[in-house]
Amino acid sequence: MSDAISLGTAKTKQQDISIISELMYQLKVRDVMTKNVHTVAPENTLREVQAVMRDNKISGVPVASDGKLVGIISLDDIIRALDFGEMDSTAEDKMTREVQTVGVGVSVIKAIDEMEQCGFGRLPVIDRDHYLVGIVTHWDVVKKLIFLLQDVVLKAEARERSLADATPAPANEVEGATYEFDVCKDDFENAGIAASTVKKQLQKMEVSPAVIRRIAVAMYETEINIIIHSLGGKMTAEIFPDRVRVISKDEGPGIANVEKALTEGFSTASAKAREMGFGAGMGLPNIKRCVDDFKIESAAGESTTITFGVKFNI
Amino acid sequence: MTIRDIMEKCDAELVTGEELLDREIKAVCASDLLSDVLATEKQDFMLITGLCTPQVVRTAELMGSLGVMYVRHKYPLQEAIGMAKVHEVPLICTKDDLFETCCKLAGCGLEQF
Repeated sequence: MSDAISLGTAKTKQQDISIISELMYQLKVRDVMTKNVHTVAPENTLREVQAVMRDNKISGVPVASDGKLVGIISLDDIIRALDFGEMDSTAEDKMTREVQTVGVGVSVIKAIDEMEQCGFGRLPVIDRDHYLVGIVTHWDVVKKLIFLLQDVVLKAEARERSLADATPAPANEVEGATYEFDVCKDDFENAGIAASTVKKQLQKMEVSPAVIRRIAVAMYETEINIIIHSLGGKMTAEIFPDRVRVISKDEGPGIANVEKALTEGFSTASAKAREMGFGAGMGLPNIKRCVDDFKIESAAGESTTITFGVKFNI
Repeated sequence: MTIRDIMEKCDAELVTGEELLDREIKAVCASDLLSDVLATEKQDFMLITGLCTPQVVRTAELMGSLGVMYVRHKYPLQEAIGMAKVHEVPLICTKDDLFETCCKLAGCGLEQF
């Protein structure tokens, strides 16, 4: 079933939709409901109904005739019948006929809403022809969500591990190794992958942690800049035995005033970027601060190229 | 002080990384702005934030932050938890807001730059 659930890993995914709401909208009642429902027939007595409820530890039971839902008996109905000595009455006599039901293809969020509105902890599930096909409770939803959320964690772990494992060692450390990364517009989800990959490589080479951090921050800021401000681009990192050189070239639209863009606090970032915690106008100044040499070439309507280098022995 | 000490001081609960709670924290970087975090000079620090996107964990990983504490009942997205496990970034969360959390940690020797 979980195969049918898209966890929204598309690059355009809006991060501000919480994953739980996303799952609640995508999950259908059929994905969470209990299928083997205990039912009673209209002609069963309330004493028999009570036995079904007691034996199965349930507090309500649907009344079905030829597979179709015709009513429901709740614990309250049983208590009332006990009070009035009506335990030999039939289910048909005492059942609630106007049963609140939910369709099998309805989203879980709608089912929860309906449970809240009618004040029941469970709803019988019916198919298009009004046949009773299951029952859904709050707990069914919670159980499924816990399972799926755990699945998201495992997928994220697997993704990060595969990124780490995919990092090739430099073919020849003396001649250096080159890594290329495509960075897409608005792809916050994959922001930092270039930086993280190069960081791991430098750790293998036992470069000092302070230098690795400067390189990682400069690369991450560069990725973020491409994601926020450009139409997408490419980053290339060349690792030499004694230094790293990074070239980032985007597909435009270019920077109208490069000098202004290099000023701390100057930002043209979108509200979305700010929500993600970026866009404070610190990106380019921070890159400059972290690196040993820095060059930026850009003009309005053209691509932007940033080149920087960091030496290991400083 | 260790992350475990910070958890006790701030009444924080563990999200992931129980085996990493004895890490010695020497400074704190408290911000909802990742751009500011990326500009910090602090070493051996814990990041305290109200942001709960996966980019918080990515930033912590790249900055070598020893752990992340989420404030105001924020709970990280599941992707962030998966990422944190791989990069060994312990995550904890507290119900207090950023200011209250910083007040609780003031005077604990975490003010170094």
